[in-house]
Amino acid sequence: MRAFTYERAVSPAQAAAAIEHNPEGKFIAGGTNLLDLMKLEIETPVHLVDVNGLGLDKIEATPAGGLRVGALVRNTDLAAHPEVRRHYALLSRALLAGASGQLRNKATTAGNLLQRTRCPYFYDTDQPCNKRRAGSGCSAISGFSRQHAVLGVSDACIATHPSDMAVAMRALDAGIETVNARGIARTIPIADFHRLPGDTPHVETNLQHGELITAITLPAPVGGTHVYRKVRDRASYAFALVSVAAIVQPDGSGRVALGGVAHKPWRVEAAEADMPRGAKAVAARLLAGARPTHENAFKLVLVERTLDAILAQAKGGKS
Amino acid sequence: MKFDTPATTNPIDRLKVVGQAVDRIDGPLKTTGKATYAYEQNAAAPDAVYGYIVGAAIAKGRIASIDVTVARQAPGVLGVVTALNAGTLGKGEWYTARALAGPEVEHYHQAVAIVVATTFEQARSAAQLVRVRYVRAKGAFDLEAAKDGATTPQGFAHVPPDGNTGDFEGAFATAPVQLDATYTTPDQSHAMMEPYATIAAWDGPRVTLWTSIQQVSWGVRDLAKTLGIPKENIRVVSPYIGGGFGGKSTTVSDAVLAALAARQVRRPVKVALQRALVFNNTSHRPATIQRIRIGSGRDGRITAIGHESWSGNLPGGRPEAATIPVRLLYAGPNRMTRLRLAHLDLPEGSAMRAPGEAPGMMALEIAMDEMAEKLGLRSRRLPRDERHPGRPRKSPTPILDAAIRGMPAHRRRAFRLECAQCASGRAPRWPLAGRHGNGIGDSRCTDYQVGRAGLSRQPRDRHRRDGHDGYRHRHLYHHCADRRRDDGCRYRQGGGAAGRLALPRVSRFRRAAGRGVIDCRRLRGVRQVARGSGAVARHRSSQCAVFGRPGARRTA
Repeated sequence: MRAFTYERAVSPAQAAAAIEHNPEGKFIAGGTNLLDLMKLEIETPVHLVDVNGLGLDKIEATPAGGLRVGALVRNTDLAAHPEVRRHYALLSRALLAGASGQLRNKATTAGNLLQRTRCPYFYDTDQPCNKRRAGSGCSAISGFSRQHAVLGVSDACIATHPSDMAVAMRALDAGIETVNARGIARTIPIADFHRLPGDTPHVETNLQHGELITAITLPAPVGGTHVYRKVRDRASYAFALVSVAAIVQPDGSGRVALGGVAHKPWRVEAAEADMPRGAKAVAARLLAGARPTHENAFKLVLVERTLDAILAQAKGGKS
Repeated sequence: MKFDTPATTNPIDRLKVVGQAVDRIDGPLKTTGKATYAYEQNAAAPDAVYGYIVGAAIAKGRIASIDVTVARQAPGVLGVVTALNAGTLGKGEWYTARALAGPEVEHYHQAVAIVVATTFEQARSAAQLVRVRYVRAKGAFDLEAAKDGATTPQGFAHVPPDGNTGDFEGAFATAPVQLDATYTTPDQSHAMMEPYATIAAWDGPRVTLWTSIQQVSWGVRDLAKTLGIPKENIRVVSPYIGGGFGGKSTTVSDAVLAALAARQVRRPVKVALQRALVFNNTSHRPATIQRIRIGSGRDGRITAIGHESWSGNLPGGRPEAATIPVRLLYAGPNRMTRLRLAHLDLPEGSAMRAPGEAPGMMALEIAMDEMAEKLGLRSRRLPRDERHPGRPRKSPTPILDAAIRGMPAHRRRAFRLECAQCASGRAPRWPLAGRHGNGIGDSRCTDYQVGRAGLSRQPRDRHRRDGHDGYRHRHLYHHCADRRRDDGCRYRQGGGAAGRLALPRVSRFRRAAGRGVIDCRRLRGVRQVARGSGAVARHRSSQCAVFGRPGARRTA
């Protein structure tokens, strides 16, 4: 770990300003991912701005009938919140499918969105990785790629976004509220929040440097049966090979988003028109243009089968 | 250990202590976090400084140069050990990969340096400053590709590489029902909850290691060979093990490098192998390719059975002996087994939880299932069932039968419970999801493993008359022969000792051993309750620190 300076922010705009003026600074909240990466010197911020004291830890109703989740709400609290469980069960289930109890107690909502990939080559500082050191090359493309992305990949990177929570939020059409150093707020739709790797896999979101997430908004509940199915090598404490978040309405229509398959939560709204026709039709459109490696082509089949299982489950009325 | 003679009654079968409900000695210590694992032996080795291991960044090749100048000047750094200043190192008897690379690098993440600093964070940080230049060499990493060059492994007497009985090829060719299937298993690693960890402290020519290790006596032997010092100058203390699973069979890089580092900086040095290094710096269960051929009559009786297995390893490494189960479990007048070993430059393959048996049993039992399916058997019956495509009434390798014969009734009962399928005829069923009909997925894997484990869990001990310390008494040497999981080692050892010392009542043993005190106090306790028999429990330093400190004497 490199030496760094540390300060506690007093307001969101001040926190944003502190980072904006420090190109190598980072926000820290739960620290469940950043600290690990700092110990391995994958992340080497010279300055940390602690945002834990900003009071962004409330969950409140919005005038539009939705929920506004503070950036610092811990994953455990979000998953357990009665309104979330009642109207956004998908989110609660996705959260509980991720990490461990201890980590969820510490990890925050905004931090979860910003967590970095678990690509083993990203973690091994002896190996080239375009995400860790831009331009050094991608070890995964010709290496072990069982866990890696099959959609939206580039020649520079095939890493996945590891979050479960973000997949549910994508299906729920969440919005990400931010503030910058001048105090200007904006809301980024989650569809536009994460980026595909392209030539710049080290740039993972469309946040500006110094822009601070203050809350995530959820639109008014859409009803339906909420299912989050995570398929992984271990039943617990493992990242998804494939995860499917689905909201299925009684008439068979619905929404579906995928995790474990791309650099961002994957959703193709046009594919959802085929929901009443079944998993095969939806999967075909969701997975159009997939570029798997020889080690992870199974994910394409797994997506379809998992979706099929979910639709059957939802049809049976079990959520 | 061979189980080819009947097990007979031993003192433990009196069931005065073993078999009774006795609280585990180490239970409260572990549940309250007070059990001192290797890395936590701060009281025994105060003022230890911290070592951090640098793993090789290439999979095969040579170290062209190592520059430690910057690392050496980093805050808190006390020393850096590399092959350049470590002196000549030998090799232990168990592992073939060397604990410290240089100039040759044998496998990825082989240790190339250990950085020692006053704090762990300083050592970790400075480790990033060690500059190593490598010359890469082409290596072999794919078993499938290396398979054709595989040769007959030499020098692993416990499993003959070739086994031939009768005429396998002829019998298989003419068998009415045939199965010829190839199975593969991948490389598998084990990362136990307690990482490999050691504190090493020198006192003149003598070194003490508090370490996490399964076979303490192997550790002493292998460390002596590696460091080139007499065994008598090495003391290994390992009261607990937070999981070993075969990987901590003997000393690996943490122990060797802790000893070297402590010698260089003249301070006790503690090292825990960082998690990322646990996978490639240590040993793992190598991949296998297994071909199994079974020929049988239409009645399901096996006439020919062949099992060939290929695995890879570093030069001098052992094969993954996947043919063990077929040698032990199934009869058939015409039999063939083959082990072949390819050269691979992966981290060393070695013992990991049922070495050979786990992948071998997996393939064999799947083959048996597939055979049963071919034969249209609804259920694979048990060994003594004549319809079963397995061994006939008289097994040529009657390990389990022999072991069970002559057991006292209570032990036989327990054994049958654990080993239900082979011993009693009540088969546990492990239905395979969907594909197979009900019952075809019966597995014999577990009973074989449990059966052996059930037998070998008895601690080995021996009694000896000895008077060298002026007392005439019986010494009880309790070897902690093998601890894979630390499943209450201290309790089992204590219970075993108490049983053998013929302690009259459990309550006394509990009072003596279960107070949560260790070392001399408990030793004294055991003596106290054993007074009636005139025996004294003593503990030998190089074995297991179950009872207490070496050299502890009878006290008033």
